[in-house]
Amino acid sequence: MTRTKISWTLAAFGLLLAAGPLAAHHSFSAEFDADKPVTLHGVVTKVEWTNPHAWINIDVKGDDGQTVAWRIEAGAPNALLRRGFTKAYLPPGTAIVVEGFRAKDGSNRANGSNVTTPDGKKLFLGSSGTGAPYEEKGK
Amino acid sequence: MRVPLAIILTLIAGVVTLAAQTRYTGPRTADGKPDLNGIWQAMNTADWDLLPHAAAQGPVLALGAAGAQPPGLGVVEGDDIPYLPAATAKKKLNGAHWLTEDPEVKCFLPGVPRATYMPYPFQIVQTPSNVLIAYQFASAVRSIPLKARPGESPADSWMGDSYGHWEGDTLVVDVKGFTDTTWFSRAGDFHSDELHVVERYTPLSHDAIQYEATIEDPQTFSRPWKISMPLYRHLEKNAQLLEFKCVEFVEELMYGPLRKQSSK
Amino acid sequence: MIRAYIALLLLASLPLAAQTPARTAPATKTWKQGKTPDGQPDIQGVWVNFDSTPFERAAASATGTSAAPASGNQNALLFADRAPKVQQRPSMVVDPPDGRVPLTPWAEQQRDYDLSHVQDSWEYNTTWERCITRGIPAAIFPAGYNNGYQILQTPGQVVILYEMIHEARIIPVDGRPHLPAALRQWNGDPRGHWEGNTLVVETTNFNGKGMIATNAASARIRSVPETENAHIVERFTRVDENTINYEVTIDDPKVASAPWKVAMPLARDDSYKIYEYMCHEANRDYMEITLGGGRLKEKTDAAAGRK
Repeated sequence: MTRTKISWTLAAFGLLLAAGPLAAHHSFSAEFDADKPVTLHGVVTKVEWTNPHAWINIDVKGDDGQTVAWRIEAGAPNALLRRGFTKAYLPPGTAIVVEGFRAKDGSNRANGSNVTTPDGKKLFLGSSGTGAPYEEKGK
Repeated sequence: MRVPLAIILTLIAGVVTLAAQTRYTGPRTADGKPDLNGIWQAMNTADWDLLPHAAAQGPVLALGAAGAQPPGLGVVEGDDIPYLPAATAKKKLNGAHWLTEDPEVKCFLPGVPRATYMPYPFQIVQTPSNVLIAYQFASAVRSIPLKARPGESPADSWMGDSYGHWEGDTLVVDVKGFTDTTWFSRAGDFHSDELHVVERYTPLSHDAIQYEATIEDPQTFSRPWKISMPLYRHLEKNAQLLEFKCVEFVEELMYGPLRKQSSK
Repeated sequence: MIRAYIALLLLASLPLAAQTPARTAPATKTWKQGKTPDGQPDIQGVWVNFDSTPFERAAASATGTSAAPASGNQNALLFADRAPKVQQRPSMVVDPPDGRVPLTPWAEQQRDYDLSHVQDSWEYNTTWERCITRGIPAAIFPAGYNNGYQILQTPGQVVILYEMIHEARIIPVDGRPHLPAALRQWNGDPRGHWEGNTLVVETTNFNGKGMIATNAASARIRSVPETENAHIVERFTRVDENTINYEVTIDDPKVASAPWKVAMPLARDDSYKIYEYMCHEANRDYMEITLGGGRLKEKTDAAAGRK
């Protein structure tokens, strides 16, 4: 799939965000906390191409200079594949900015809303179903 | 479509030659292939250990004889699995800890060729363009298009990416695109994501298939090696593949400590 | 005899591409239902149902305020090129005529209890979240992705491979009886027969631990139980080269006060490759976060002196 087609897909997806809940298999609120948004600047260490969710592992450097590993939940890989995104899209070493919501168990995991890559492109991670703040307007 | 006589004669010659070599005289499908449709099962202890093994103590004392390892003649040609020196230690470690480390125990997809010789039946669904194999264990399944591999699979999988073709009366299946997460047996035999398996299903009769699998993985083994075993048809009237969705039997094992303790 | 043999040889030597088109062939006005070698109407191929039709119609409420809006399957719009080209319908539920499932109070209580206790144990999560199965018929209700089904037919059976969760459903059409009543399964026990060009599949022998719907697009039906007494009747009718009309009647008296029907078209797409949807193998994170979050909340609440 060409780059332009990917951009159109992302734009269309963005429009759809306001239109209603996305269909997936479980609810956002069981796992993630809408009151705990996170913005993480990190470097990709590994992308796990797994179902029901792909996971992006990143190393985040804190203000104290310590590096902390985070896991970011993304959508189902087969769905990403069909839109032209492969595991190779985020190779280890890529610096990314992740926006998302923290996991409810207090671990360093988050449901990823989107990822911004070094070229400035924003990639919607489409991970969750009903209830995510970025999915419903009136919530 | 008009076909030149030369081609017809060549084809007849080919069939005659083939007929002389083929020993299969059982039923054939409408497209002339041996009919492999049905429910099959291996009858050996390869899932415990591919190599020759005597009976041995099992890991769970309370299971007694029911949990002991039964003996087996082995299914590896040459009785040797040629691990690279660096990989030998890992196999030993796996085998010593199989109760906690074997993906089978957690009801994970068994991979290929292990799915073939687990002690449970599987069903072959054979059409001219596709062979589907449904395994009772964990509802594992493989869909095998009968055509040339069009390219690398964009994603690795536990059961691999299979493409098949017929060589005479033998169904040959080429499998690549594996993750490195499955084992070959409880003895701890393992592989990398470079695993390449070529299976051959050769019917011996309507009720038996000779199954061979050549295993190649330059990251783990110094050369390709081969396993071989018969598969037997289930002859029960109305034989049916039943559900063995084992996830519900391992949830307590895997997530027990996370559960609300008072809810049980 | 020898002529037939030669004909068979020539057929077998044709390139496979001639048997499986790379993409869907355009629907032709003169389409005729083909047959398999054993005389079944041929419905083989890869079929998809990316479909953004709402599962139910929005409720009309006496007070004038609308109930939870009937949510469509927005994700499916991304795959618009794969969506069946059919008329817009108000809902997938077509019977009762108001497009709403006549749920019993018991069913709603069960659903609500399960949904509000997902952090307690895996058993309150849907069978999909547990990575056991999406359910039958739920596995064919469109999700936002991976709505692929491969249908194969061999003498005496129809086999449907559902992409999620790698479910090979083997449906005998040879008249054999159902399994013994004591043998119960998550997805029941299907038996099919042909009525003209319609494949009718009756499924019984459910183990009662599953749900009638597990995807978010089914909205208020998600997590509603499917009891041991569920009796599911599906009808698959191929109406042209590229379309199967699918409908399912769900009869489960403890769950709904009358049988109800869901209908949707399936579109042929032989270019759609069904990839492995392994699920349980990577589900640990979900359980750790969901259940672990519950245990953390209990600790936090206890520490703060709240219960």
